Amino acid sequence: MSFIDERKALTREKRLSTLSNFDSSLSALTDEVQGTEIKQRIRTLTQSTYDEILYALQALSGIEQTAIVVHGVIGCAASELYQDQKKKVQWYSTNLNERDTILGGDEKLRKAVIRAYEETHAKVIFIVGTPVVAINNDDVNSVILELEEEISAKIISVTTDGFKSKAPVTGYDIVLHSLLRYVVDRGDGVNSEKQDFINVVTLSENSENVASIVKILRDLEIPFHLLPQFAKIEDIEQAGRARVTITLNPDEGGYFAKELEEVFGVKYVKTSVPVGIRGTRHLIQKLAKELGIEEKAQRYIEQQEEEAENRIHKKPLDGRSVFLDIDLASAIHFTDLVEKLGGEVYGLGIPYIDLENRADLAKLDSVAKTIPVVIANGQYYEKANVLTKKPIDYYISFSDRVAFAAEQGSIPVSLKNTGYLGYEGLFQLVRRLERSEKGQGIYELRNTTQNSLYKATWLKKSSNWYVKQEVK
Amino acid sequence: MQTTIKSPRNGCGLHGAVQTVQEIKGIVPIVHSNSGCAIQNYLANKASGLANGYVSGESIFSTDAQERHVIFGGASRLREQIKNTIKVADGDLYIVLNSCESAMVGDDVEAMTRESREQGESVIENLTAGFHGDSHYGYETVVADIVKKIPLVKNIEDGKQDNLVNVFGIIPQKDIYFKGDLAEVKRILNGIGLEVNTFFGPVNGVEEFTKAPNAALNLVFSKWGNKAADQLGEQYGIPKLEFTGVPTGPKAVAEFVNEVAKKLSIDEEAVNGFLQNEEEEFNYYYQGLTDTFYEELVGKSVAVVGDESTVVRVGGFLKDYLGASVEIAIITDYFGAAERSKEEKSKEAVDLAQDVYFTQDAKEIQDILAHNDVDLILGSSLENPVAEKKEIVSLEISYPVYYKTIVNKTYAGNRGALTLIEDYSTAVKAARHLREQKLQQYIR
Repeated sequence: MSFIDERKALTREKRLSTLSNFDSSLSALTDEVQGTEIKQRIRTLTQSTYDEILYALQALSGIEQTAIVVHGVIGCAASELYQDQKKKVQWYSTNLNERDTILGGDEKLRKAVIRAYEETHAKVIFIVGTPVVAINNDDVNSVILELEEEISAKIISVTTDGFKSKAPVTGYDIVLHSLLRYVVDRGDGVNSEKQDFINVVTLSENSENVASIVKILRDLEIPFHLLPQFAKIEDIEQAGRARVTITLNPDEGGYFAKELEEVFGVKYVKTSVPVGIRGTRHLIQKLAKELGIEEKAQRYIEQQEEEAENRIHKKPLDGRSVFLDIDLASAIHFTDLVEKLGGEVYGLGIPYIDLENRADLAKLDSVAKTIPVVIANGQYYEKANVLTKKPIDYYISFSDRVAFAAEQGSIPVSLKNTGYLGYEGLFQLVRRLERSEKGQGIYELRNTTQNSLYKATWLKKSSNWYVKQEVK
Repeated sequence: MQTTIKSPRNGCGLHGAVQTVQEIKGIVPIVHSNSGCAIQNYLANKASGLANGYVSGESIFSTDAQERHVIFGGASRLREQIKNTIKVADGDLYIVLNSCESAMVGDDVEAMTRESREQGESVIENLTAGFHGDSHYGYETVVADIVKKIPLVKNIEDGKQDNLVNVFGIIPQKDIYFKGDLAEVKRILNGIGLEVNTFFGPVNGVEEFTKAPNAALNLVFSKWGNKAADQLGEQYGIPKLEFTGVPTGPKAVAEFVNEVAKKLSIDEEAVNGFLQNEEEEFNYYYQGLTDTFYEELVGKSVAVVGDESTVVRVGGFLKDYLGASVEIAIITDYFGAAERSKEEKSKEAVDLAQDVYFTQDAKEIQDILAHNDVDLILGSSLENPVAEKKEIVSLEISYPVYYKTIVNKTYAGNRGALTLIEDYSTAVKAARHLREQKLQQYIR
């Protein structure tokens, strides 16, 4: 069923019964997520973590020819500095103060949008919602209606609020929904004439990973548009005319790809996250089949795999235990890869599970069902507890927050800026793992006078002490 | 002046409070907000290459308020969070920081912390919401609150110390060199026989806050330190000395030291001895630059952008010691009434520069810089695009700075002044190299 006519995207909890709080074993999780609805749990102790506003801002920052108006208090636009250092974004803050929280910030919003348009000549201006305007119920749509007649840019409301979903990935859905509804050219819908390019949906992937996939597509001479990261507005407008769509992570970009298929007739070629030799092969083969270039692709795969096998024969994780703190879609082939590199997965951290991706649990065939699984966005106090209970050699994470693992005796590996997708990513990852042991021991040097943040009494308790059934 | 802000460089009141307390060893912050509030601040500071504090980013405890807490109130969630944080996190003091949501919903945060205190726990609160002001305001209120409320949860030892001073107004993270600045100020004061509560740094900050009431003098290094100093003045009768910024260079150091010494009646001979050594050391290196000074440095026109304390001390030093002409000063931390006169806003900046502006709007700042001819821009990374456009060199001295890691660098004192000379001379030489390349290209 298409969601495109809905005014805004539903939260992941409402749409897919997404569970963001859980801590037990893989087998217990498998049992937990059976049935038509997944029971919600809560944590009664939490640490700061990303919310859907931050995910939405990150997704929007990757689109060229746009400006972002963060409708809120000055601090709600603070992460611009982080995005700006990488990709020169155009953000404006409506800079709401106490008076605006009482009387509303409509006038400031109007001024900010006009200013953004006059100064940047953006083709699209996104208005990003924040807690203050959600609580105050500011009438953003009236401002848009009024200004649409004054300026020629499209003005789009991104209806984030920071508190309706526990799953920050909802922020990606909200952005993708806005793009589908207001930016993608509707043309003739499913009968739109197709052109010779494919859509590649990329959201959270770092530049190393995107470059690695771009190399594969260029080697195979497949014309492509990346979106929303690295996209121009025209690329998004033309998304309905692509031959097919692939996503680098189906759990993040699947919303967009499915809608494109249903509404615009662009086939969604669902592939695995291209991690390791198997994951990358799966993506190339499925895509090649759709495009009718199987033979060429097969030759390419064989050539690349030969090189890859040569490069990874040293098995940098030989005999080592690994805790993987990644997402479930990536875990399918990442767990395989750990095994191929000589290691064994002893624990798994994933940000969420839902009705759609729960089937992926069965694909974790190289992993023992008894391993601990923590479902959480962040919540490192709990992960520190897990690592204390069962000493683990390597803590490998997509996040930049890994130093806590060193405190528990593991070797931390952050893949925040390292590639791991495609062949080039695989080579980068292997090089990184080969050198990561050099960091062992440094923590002890650095930490001689600093005590652990977490109390010893906590680290002895069950790690799931603060995870409770939600009472409605 | 715009009411909206292009590319804000200052976070909100909550961010100021978070980035302050996370740098105080012994404090565990508990943020009562939605999950992303503290992360916004973490990402901004991360972009600036600033090393993490004791508890920062995703290790900050937060109620991660959800819709139900916005609708039905979040006080009971906060109660649960305080109780559980104390059980898990090892801290000498727990401080609850408020947020926009909580303030708008009207959660009784004070009642929750009072309840914990009644059970013997060291929990206090700071009620600054994001919309109350920017991050400087957050610093100002949270430090004043700690000073005010620490007697509620800690024993304050009775015993005035004639040689103990408190340091306020050097804002963590906002002053990109705050760690080095504090260390240099402490070194100088130690040099004249004083003990110093810096509250931040390798010391246990909570312990220093309990000693603060015993100090003989409060030293305030920016307008944002006044509130805490005044609080101590009101509660314990401690006088204050206010400076626009930390001293940079021998002249400023001597003025600063003499003023403190006079106030505390420190032996003149010891002070003079210290200052003489400091000056001799500085002059040894400074005089080695004589040729460079006359060949390259003297007479450069500069624009300086940043917080008032940074602009005044860096600009002042360049003018007094390197012969720079400060044409433009842009102060990014002024949030008072726009109609007030420039003189009232910052006398020191007006004395220093030909033109003084007060704004933190990136576009306004870029426009000012674009329409003025200067040889160098000293500011943040947000000023780099306009410098590139004008094909002039920029030196990053204020928040934010991209792609740099800052550990304990400082421009304070005499040692910091030498570092500033190095950085400034290097920038001037880079500017000459750029010019030389252009000339070569033109001639050929």
